[in-house]
Amino acid sequence: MINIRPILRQLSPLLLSMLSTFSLSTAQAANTITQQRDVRDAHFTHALYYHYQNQPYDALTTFLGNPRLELQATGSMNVLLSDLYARYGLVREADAALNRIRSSDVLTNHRNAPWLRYGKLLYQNQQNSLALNFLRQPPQLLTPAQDSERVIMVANILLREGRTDDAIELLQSFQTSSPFFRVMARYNLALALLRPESRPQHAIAESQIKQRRALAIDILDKLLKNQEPVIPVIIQSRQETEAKKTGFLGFLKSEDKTPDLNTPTRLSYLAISSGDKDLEFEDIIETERLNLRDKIALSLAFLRLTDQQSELARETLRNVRLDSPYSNQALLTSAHVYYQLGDFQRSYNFATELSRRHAADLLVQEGWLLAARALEEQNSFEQAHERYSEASRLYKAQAARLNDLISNLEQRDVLSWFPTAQTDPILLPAPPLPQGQQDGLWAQLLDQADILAILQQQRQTQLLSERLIQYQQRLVSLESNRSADADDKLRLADARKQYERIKQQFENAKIQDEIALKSRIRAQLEHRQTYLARYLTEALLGLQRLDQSANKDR
Amino acid sequence: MHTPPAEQDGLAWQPIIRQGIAAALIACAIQTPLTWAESVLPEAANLETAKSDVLQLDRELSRMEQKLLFANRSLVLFGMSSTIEAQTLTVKLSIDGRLVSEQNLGQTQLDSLRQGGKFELWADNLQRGKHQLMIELIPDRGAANNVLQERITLNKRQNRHVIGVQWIEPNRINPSQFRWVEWPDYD
Repeated sequence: MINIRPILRQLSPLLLSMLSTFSLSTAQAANTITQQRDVRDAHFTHALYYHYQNQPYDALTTFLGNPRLELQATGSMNVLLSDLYARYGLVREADAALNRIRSSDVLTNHRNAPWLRYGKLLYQNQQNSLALNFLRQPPQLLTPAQDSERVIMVANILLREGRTDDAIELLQSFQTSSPFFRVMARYNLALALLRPESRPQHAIAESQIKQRRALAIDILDKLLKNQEPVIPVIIQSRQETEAKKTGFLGFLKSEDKTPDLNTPTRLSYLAISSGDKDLEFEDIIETERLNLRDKIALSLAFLRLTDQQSELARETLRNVRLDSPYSNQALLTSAHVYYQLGDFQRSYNFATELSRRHAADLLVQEGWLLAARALEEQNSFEQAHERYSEASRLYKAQAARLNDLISNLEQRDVLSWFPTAQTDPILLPAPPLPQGQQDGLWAQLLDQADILAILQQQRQTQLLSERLIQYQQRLVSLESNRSADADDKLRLADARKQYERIKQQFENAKIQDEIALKSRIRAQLEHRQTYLARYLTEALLGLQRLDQSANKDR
Repeated sequence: MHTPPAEQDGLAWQPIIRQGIAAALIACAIQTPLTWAESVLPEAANLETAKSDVLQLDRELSRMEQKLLFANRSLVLFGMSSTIEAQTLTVKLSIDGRLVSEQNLGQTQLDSLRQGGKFELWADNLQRGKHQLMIELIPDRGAANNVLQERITLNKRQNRHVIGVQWIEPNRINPSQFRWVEWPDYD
């Protein structure tokens, strides 16, 4: 939520005088009514109430329901409007409000929050070109924290577009006074170094690929040791390359004058150059920092494992916390590492720890198999037999749940698992997990960003459709009003057509989203079925092996 | 004699890390794109136009209501200054001796008011001319002696207007607990 308090200070003098005289009046009598002229201020504070109540849709409709407020909003009022539009997901409208702020007298630092919110909207909507063009021209007084977020988003967009070299160029020299964002940028740089470039003219030789991989490992290793990695120049900047080719004057004459993405904003520059390197921003919570560290450890372990450095991988995995969101991955990888090292007892220990967790997780299912396998390797045949049997029972039970869900999907709308309570159509809290045997499966499904995004859109459509019923009632009430003149009747007829069109759009969207959502859920479930079938086969083969050995021994 | 799994035939045992879910998920952690199914899946709907149209409909209905149903609307907004401490508040508004609104506010509502928001206490048509308004506040479900009250005479001159009632800290110069403001409301 944007902070309106500083903006209130900028409201029109009339409102300011009103607010201040409320508490400091020296001359007004208590029982008289002060006359004010600018009603925008009254309606704005009304919309603000809903904003502070976390009812953004009501704030937006209250704002827009007053023609004078909407059409003659001051810069400060447009700050709220742009923010509300961006939260609602309306790109054009948020952009228009943002442009009105630019040409107003709003202090530059008050423009930053809606600017960044709009940038995030474009980024989240995957409107890559638009987002890139927008984010490469930040306001000069963007705070160091906001600027750091901006650079991270730009780098991610470049990676999304396959422009790996551009992302590397941006991140290699990125500086920030925040340790958290510095680590995140270095981590993202390491990931970028591992990614192939999609543009053929940027293809690199095998030796360079190896160099980049080694550098990525070095960066991750240093980050894990809380050391500042030394980043060499990996990609020459475009300006330098152009200047070399054509001379400095040639570069100045060149037509490509797109701003350097990595030019820090003025405040970022001041923060960096003041030597205040370790200034953490208030918004960074400890959990985010620890999660990032877990991801670094896991990624580094994976690289070491694929380099056949099991011992180093094992050491690295010890850095992942047991209660981390990545701990299942870490436990399973550890179990595999010990298996590769031939330390079957430890492999069993890790796999057993993992198998105590929720059985709907594929990682946990694999843990069951690995635990049995490790016992078999230790010649603990009886225990291994028991483990394989338990694992196969578990796989059959999980397969049955998967089949149930797949068959339920044929008969039910996904939304029926997630009833929407009375809530604001903009403010959509995370959907509550359906209770029952399939809760674990749903938790895993909702972990998929695309599934969650479509489900949330469906929930929003549902809530807006409920609002539409209220609009229909209001429309009927207006249509039955006898004082309506010919002009009013024409407007009401237009409103009726608009209502019917929206209703149809929502109905179509509901069908389309249901198909899109179910196809993604089905794909996920079928993917799980494949793995379960593989694990079950392995478990049955294990049992067969043990039975054959026992028969031979007899 | 037991034969180690790796030497057996059948479904070839390979370290699962190379082909199992662990590999897929860890690769995901380092953002290697996994596109095993996504490319052929149907797209979700683009709702941007419909969402914008809903707002347009709401806007149009509000304006038509103001014209046809509430041509003489009085809107009473209530606010309070940021320094006033109260956990709960009952707000009552009477017009011409008739109780027209009674609202019970909790902590979250009061916080929104302290931050500068104002909530709608009452809105309806009210004829032009003189009216008696009375505001009554009962903070923290207090005793009878804790009730704050004020009467005021309103001379309504416009068809539509907004009245703001602000609960404030009294001081030596201005002993009143309330501040009243009126704005004419026109398009």
